[in-house]
Amino acid sequence: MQKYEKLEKIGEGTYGTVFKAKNRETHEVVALKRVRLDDDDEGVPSSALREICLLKELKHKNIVRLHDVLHSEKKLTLVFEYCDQDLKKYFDSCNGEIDQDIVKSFMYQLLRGLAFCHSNNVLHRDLKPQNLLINKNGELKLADFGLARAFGIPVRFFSSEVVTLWYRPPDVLFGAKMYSTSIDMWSAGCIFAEMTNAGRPLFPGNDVEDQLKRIFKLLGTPTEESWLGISQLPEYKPFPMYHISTTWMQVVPKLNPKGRDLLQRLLICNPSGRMSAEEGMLHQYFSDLDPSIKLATDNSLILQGRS
Amino acid sequence: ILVDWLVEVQENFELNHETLYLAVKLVDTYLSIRQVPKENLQLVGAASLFVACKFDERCPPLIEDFLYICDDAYRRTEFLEMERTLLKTIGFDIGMPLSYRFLRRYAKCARASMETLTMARYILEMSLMEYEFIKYRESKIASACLLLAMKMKNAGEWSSTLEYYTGYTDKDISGLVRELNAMIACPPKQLTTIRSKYSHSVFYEVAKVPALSEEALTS
Repeated sequence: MQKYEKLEKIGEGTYGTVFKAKNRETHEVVALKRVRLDDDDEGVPSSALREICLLKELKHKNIVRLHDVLHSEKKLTLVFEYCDQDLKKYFDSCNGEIDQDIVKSFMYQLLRGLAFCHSNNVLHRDLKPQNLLINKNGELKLADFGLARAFGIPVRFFSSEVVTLWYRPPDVLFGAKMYSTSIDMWSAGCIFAEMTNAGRPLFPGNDVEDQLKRIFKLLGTPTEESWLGISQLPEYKPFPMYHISTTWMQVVPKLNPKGRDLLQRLLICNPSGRMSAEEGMLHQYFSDLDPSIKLATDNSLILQGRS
Repeated sequence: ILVDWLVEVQENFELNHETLYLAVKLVDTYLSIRQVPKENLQLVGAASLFVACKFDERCPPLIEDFLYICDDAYRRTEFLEMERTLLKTIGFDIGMPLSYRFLRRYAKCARASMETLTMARYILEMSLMEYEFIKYRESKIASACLLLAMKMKNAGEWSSTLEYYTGYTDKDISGLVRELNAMIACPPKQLTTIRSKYSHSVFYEVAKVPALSEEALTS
């Protein structure tokens, strides 16, 4: 690796090791995601192919920027903009206390990044705090598009062992195959709750059944009336009608009423009832958001002219 | 010839049609940028299909399978190198719009029957073999295939709904429809994979529907 000087290992992504590095010429600090290519492997991993292809088109300040791809016989290196930490590490550093204005700013940026993805027909599908990067300026960026897909193509989810269940919506947990932007909106709701609670996950289920049980105990068990077609889902199992014993006040005590309203509109079991990212950005909760965060306009919106 | 072979492989591996169209598109893009000696064309085709599979298929076939279908004409390292060169040449831009998807969308807008859609797919797949259709936009060629199929099946007119969703009027595509009709009227004699595929009853034997006469085209 001539062009970049490796500084330190940052972590392991879904399919490669991530290093902090510096461009020898410009001294720009970047993150390198390195995938080893062995002769007996199947060439470039499909997740890397998809991530590169999607990120090349998604240029937005709330989405991690892919600067370059270096491809040699032995390895494939993706050069990303560098961010200081991910949201999970950020939680660890706040010791259970988080400024609710920062939550608001992060949530707005998360919705803005998602709105951009969705308007470009891309689903992230694997949103979680580890995949949200944060830099020194308090900017939040979506990362790790290894599981993302351009939508229109129904694809079965990866096995539950690989992807964490905590941010997965009930429709997908019931085996729904035709999912849409609503899958990311559920995850955004879970992350919103987790942020206001300074990193305590909302639904930390152990398996699919436990996950659904936790969800229904808070939101109530959906019925054919509240969610038409629920019992037709491939892996549908009836759940008891739980008595709802916790209030939203208890679940997210730090969040103001407007914030609670937004959260409840995201965490709706029936995917067709879930709020979209664009609607979310217009929600009252953000009416007193620092204008400088809102204003940072979509100057980087680059849609390639294609037929 | 290469496309004919790719269709054969697509059938054997039971791949999605999207994968086939993407592979052909990758081959076209690659060949528009680089010169390739004849003996390596199959390698380009196989590597394109390999990349397309990884992009679109849930369980892509293994490298071994690809080497096997090339009759072991190439070595594994050559194959991997071709993949690298291909990706580099096209700059990893593999999410291109595909005529196949446009066609599905348009057929839905037109509420076309499965038989009409299959007819249009047959015409579209035949067009993959012909160089002269490369220059057209994916959306335009999809529109023209649908209109020709509708005419062949007497399945109605190019409605304002279709005009709205495709962005093309029937005048815009009538020239292309004519070209496509001429293409299926005299298909290449040696290359029969697509025709036999679409002569099967699951495909409503659409390949057996005769091309339109001059009067029917202009009406």
